[in-house]
Amino acid sequence: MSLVHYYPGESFFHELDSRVKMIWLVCMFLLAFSFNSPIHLGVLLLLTLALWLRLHFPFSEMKMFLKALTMIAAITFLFQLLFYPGKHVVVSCPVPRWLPYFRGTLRVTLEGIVNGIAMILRLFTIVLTMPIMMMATPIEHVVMGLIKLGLPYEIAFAITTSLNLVPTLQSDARMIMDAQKARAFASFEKGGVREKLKAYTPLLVPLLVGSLKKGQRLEVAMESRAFGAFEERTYLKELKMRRSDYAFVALTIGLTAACIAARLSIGFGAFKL
Amino acid sequence: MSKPIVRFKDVSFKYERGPTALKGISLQMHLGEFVSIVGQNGAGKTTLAKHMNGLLKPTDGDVIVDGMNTREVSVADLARVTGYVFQNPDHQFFAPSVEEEVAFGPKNLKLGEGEVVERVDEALSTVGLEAMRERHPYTLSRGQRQRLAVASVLAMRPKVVMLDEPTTGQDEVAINQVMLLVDRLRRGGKTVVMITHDMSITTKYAERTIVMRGGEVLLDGPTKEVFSRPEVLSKSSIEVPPISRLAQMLTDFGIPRSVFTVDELCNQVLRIAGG
Repeated sequence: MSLVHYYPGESFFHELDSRVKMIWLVCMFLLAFSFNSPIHLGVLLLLTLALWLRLHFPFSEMKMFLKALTMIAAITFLFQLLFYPGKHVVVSCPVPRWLPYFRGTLRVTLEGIVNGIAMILRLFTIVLTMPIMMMATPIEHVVMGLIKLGLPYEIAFAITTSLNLVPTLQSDARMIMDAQKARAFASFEKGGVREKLKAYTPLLVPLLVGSLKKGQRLEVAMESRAFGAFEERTYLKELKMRRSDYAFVALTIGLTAACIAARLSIGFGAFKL
Repeated sequence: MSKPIVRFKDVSFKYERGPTALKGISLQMHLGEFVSIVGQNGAGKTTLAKHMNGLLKPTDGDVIVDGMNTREVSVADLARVTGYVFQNPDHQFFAPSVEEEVAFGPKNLKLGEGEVVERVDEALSTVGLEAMRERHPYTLSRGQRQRLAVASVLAMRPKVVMLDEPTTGQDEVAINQVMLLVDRLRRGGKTVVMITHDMSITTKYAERTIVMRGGEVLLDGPTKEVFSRPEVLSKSSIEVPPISRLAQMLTDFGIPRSVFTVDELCNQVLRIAGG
């Protein structure tokens, strides 16, 4: 499984300051949670998809992910259908009395269906906005942005290091597996949990030992380059907000605030029957 | 010559989403041969070696090992014939003792307990680690760990032993121990295939040298012949050992091009001076 990674590009969205993109992300989340009408949520999802296509990001990387998401969406929808209370009954059928909650009758209501659709749209919007940001922003910029927003450098460093370590670990794991296969090691599938865990020892022990050693070496390398010598440090690349960044932030916050205000006052984006 | 134990028939290999690492390789190796594979990083040495135990399957062509086409059998089956000692021995140790580490392979082959014990004893004595059998693998020295890696492969009783840079990063003593061990294996009738960057070791031990460059075999032949062609070797950025370079500069005085040791050169000089 590959993690969502940076796709270089020169679009307006790529060029935005990473902090601006984080604010955009938060605004999208707020909007997705403030609406509950399928129409408004649908528009939000369409906008998200449009941005995705506009940035030429591939969907292929997300295949596994989307599959799992579809499963979750289906289950969510089913639950809404069965349990959401409402006045407009579409279908009703008797169920055994010993089942709790239903009191003898299962009622599928229009409210339940609409709410189920809204939940699915909301789920997809939220889950698809996050990768848009990650694919349009180099991870160093995301971390720089977080530092500017107050994240301690040590923690930021730990995040980048561990993310960068994933490919190394994957290649180590492949190498270890090859070495064990060359000693006629074959079984990973058979047996219960205990057997499986046991089967993984030849892979996990060398991987763990190797990672610990790597960590120790990294520590020495960092210390020898005066990591943490001063509380404050300087950076090679500084993030700088440009005019277009301010404009985009103003637009995003403005629109979001207007939508939420309208939602609270005149019920914009709320679902009524 | 006897039937070849390893045969590459016009083998090409391309890594998925990567470069073509092997281009139309055809070669054979026989029992008891000591073959050194040399070449720059990325020349395809390791890719070639991984084809011999089925870790990689050719994109085109066939690799036949002891009569088996590597496409048709599993790596585990091939492990009985070709042992592969990886470059970094730490990539395979997981057992709490040297003994159990060596027993891992034979147990994977589903051998009986008596047979496993016998093979462990034999492998440990071949590499000279009998005294360390209770020790934890990670407490051994670098050179000892290298020999343990060899033992864990020998316990499979393979006919071909491949070693990926067995001398890298070790001191003189450890290098000599490993090379003595390797030489012993060859004498015992095994085919030894060694990937190395050390030309002195190649000229000292290997009877045959394969020079690779850009996924192709640039030269393949008796080591003496291969190293008497420095003009071809330099294409692969391989330098002839200093003593041979000196000898090759002295060809005008009647010294043969294929001199690899100080003793040989001394003898040649004495011969000319005396004659």
